Amino acid sequence: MSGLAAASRGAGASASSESPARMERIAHSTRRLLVYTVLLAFSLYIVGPFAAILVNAFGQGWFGGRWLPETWTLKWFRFARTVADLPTLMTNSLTIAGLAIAISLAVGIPTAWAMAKRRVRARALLMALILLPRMVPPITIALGVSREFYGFHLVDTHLGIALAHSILIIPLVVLIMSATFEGLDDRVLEAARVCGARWTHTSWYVIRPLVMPGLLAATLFGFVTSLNEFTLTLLTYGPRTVTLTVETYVQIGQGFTTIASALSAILLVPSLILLVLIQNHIKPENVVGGTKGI
Amino acid sequence: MRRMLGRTRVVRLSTVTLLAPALAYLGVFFVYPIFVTLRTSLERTGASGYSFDNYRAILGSGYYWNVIGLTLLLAVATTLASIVVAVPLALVLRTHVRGHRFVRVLVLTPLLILALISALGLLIIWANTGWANKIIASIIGADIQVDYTIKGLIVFYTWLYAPYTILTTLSAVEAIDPAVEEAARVTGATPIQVLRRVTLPLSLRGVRAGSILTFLLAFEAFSIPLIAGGNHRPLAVVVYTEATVFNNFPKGSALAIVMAVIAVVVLVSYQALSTGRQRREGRT
Repeated sequence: MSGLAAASRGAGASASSESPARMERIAHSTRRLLVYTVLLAFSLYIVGPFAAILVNAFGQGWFGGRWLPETWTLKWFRFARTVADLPTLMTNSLTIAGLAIAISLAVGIPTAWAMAKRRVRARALLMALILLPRMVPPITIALGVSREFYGFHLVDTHLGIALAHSILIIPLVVLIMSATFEGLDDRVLEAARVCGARWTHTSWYVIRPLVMPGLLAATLFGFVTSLNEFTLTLLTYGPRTVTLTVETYVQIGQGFTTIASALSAILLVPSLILLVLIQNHIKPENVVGGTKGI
Repeated sequence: MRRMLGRTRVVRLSTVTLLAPALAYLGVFFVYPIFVTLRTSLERTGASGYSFDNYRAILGSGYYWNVIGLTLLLAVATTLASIVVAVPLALVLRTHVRGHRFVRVLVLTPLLILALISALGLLIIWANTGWANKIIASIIGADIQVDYTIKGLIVFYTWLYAPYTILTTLSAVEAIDPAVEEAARVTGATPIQVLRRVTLPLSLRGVRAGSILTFLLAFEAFSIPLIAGGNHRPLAVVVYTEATVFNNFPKGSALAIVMAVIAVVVLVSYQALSTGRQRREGRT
């Protein structure tokens, strides 16, 4: 692919420097063709698996090398609701995600403020320490966590799983919120103070609206992280706390890929909403370090 | 400014108080679990006391060395494949052709989707009768087996982890001052020379930053090889089966510690290399 891109650039330039306009036009359209081939190939490559999941979730009789299923059906979603007990799965997943975000914001925001607005000794080291949970293999943390949680009776509780998820969400909150707080102009805070605003008023009427986009981003990222977290959930869940993610894994393991596809189709929705939102509101490069998945 | 704020009458919590909750959390739910894993790894099966038996058993066995080798092979191959995808894509996206916005959104999708779902989708399209296989078979005229092979794992990992390399490469490529390339062109460099001597060297920093993330993620991958690996089991999967299926927590923990040590060593040497490089570049 890189060869193609280079060749297309080569063709374009040699034409422009030494050939008549017609040659240049041909070179130009060749280059356009190559560019769109690269983009189209990449798009298909990314979209393919999702399309396959949707087709699998809504299709029946997709065997023997057919391009599409024989018939379309909602059967697998009905199975997901009855056999896999979808309402309970959703309640579990959402309860855990909600708890995890509440914990992570409460713990992460003060630290983010300190990192952004205070003089912290050994700042770089501290930040590295806070981000460390996202660098160590999740399975290494999960083994210890599951043993620890057996001792504290936190296994198979919503709170326990939320606490485990927060290990991965807090670094994210600190990363996003400290970047947000850094963008906050000290002069604005000073102005509010000079005008006689109390600290509570300043934080509610001045700081809150200014940091809202960052707060929203941190919440959404945390939400999707919790919803999608697999390794830590697998080692701390129990019969009362089966989540959408775990059930998807169980269904795949038992070979019911159609029910798993239906569950996956449901799990895709929040991720896709987040995708659209972040594209419009934050620069993806800034959170690359924090979005490390499972 | 900081000093002025410091003198205000508002109630201000001390910096230590602000940092305390996160540090306490890290201590209880990250450092302590790692310590538990470490302690468990020193336990002896069926005996009391601590020893290095588990580590000796792991490092003395060809099986585990093969597992470590496979994991590193997958991680390196994925990193290289991701660079091959990232560089041309970044060069194309930089030109802001029509549709580039849509493709930029697509780049992000694998980051935000549960790896398990991606693995399921990939297994379906790369199955022997899947879309991807049918297309490739019609081009090369022969069926290929992708699912449950090492080749397949590399394809799946690359799908999932290349976005990190793509995003950092893209931001490095877009940070290049067009004037620099223009200068090279004006002084008579051919487009290929501009690409080789100017554009690619300047995007190297982005490629490196993304590659380390891609490498670590591929090294630590768990859910993908768990359901799509077949008989090929990299470290994370072996740790999990050792601890839960064979119920040998001590050995699984020892392996998990070996894994974490490799990951941290790779990360720290990357940091050391890149700060050294920055210092050298800073001096010139």
